Amino acid sequence: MSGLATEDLKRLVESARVYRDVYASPEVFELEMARIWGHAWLYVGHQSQVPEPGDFITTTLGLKPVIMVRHTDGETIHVLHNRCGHRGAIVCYQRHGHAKSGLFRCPYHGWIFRSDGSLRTLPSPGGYKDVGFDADDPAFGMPPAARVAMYRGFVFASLSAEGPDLPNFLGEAADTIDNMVDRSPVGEIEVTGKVGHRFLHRNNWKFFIENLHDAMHPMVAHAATGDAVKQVLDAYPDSDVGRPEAEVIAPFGGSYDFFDEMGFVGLPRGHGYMGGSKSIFSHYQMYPDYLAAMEEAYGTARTQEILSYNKHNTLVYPSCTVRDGIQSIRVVKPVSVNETVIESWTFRLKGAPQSMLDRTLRYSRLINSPASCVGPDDMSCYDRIQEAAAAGTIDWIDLHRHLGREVRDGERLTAIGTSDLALRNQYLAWLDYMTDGAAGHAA
Amino acid sequence: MRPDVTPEIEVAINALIRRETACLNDGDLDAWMALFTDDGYYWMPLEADQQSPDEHDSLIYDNRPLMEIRRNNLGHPLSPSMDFPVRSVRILADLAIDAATANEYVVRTSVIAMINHKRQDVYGGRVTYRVCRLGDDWRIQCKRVDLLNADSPLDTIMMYI
Ligand SMILES: [Fe+2]
Repeated sequence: MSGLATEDLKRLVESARVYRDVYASPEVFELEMARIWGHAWLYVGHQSQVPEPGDFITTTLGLKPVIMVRHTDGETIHVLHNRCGHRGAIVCYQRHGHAKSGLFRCPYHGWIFRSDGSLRTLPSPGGYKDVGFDADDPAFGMPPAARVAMYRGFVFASLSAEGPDLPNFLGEAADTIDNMVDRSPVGEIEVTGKVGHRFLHRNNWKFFIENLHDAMHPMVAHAATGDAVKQVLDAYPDSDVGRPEAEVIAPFGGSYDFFDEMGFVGLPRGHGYMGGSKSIFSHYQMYPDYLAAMEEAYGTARTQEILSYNKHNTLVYPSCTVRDGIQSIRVVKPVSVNETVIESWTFRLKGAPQSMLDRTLRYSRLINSPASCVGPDDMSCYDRIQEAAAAGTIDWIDLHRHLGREVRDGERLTAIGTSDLALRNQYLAWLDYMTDGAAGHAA
Repeated sequence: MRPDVTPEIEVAINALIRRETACLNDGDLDAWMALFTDDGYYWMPLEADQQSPDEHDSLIYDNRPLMEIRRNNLGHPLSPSMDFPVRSVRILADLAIDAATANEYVVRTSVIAMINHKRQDVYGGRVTYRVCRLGDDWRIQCKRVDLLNADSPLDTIMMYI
């Protein structure tokens, strides 16, 4: 399907630089959709979005429209290709809803499907009798994704029947999901609202996930916002005015040392996280009523353990990034080589006081919203590289910083926070997926 | 019209809303902020029928400190996005005033706004103000903007609408 041979792909990624085509070539993008997004486990949604049988959301796996639906058995969550087995029409455009009796009806010719994707009813079925049509052939239904699995309420799917199972795919990244759920005094979280932010990026999907762990940019690209906050704090020296907002924004202006100490951990398959014992959330104030609820539920020692777990962003490559400390998740939706939608979802910690949700929502508005203060500056920087890569004003994009100084610790690669390891680790996985293991890295 | 929206009140409220629109069109956020009560806020929900900014995410939910942060941020020389100036214009129509209490009024309008920043984006929506009289002055207690496309993929929103 593509003229790009394994040798061509290997030439795009070197140990300390990547060729501009990784961001700007439609042919590379097409291959990424098939080989990365067509194989990895991708985040679909959270079980709390479909509480009742027949409840559904529509989303995408790579470029493929899918429906995540709670089956009529009340237990199973299916992820179905959102297309009619007849002529291929998208069955449902609603972003969320309830399928009465768990049935989906294609609005074109009225084929009806069950919530497990099987074909239930054909209109005027005589026309299909004795013509070699097999109504039991799953191809005439809405076929389920090749694999679907849930980890502590987070639903993932893979378009490939082969590969590691979900727990093995997630590896240590699963700890971040655990921690987000454990931060609820009753061990349960739920998505707020029906729709999350959808932030349109006119650039390649990789810029967003690369930027998450690019600890060299905040003090430069977000200096303006940091200063904007400082001016407000200075204007109200002996008051609480601006403090809740500063708590969220100020750490983005942290020093190089601050981010270096946070450190970066690269995991297999491109996953990774910043922080551990220290992160952008380390200095968040503790609400006494929340602490009391946690200690009541878990005891002092376990509460301490849960709350001292401090990661900035955990990337579950390639599809989502989890912030356990602030209970939000951002989901990467590639659209084309230079268009991406970043979705954000916020979670309520069940059993926690309102102050915790207030902070989650404040964080999301200030950092994740298309109307955030920091977002446009990140976006401007991605655009600059996208446009330069497309124009060919640069051929190689550099990844040299602290090259070779990472330390291997079993499956993990660790480095100080401002190392480009955070980016290099993603390209190890990229090359592995793209060359189907031929690149020789442990994936 | 309810009996207690007198012609004088209607004139005063119209003037307040015109001034508010002019401040945003001029990019004068200092003057704009001064039109709000001290505890006034600006809310742009994410969902069409959203009841509260406290139960779910919003595009914008700014109190006074956040308005000041946004003012300081806009046009900041260290901001990469500010290589492109932010220019905007908005047109309000269908203004209707209802009395909420003796001293508070609800104002509903439609808005079409164009924001120019690298590209030109067009937004349409419904605006709901709650305004009140403070002595001889009129102030905005809250401004809610429901974008038609709040739940669609949105480019950066560089300015209040
Ligand atoms: Fe950033």
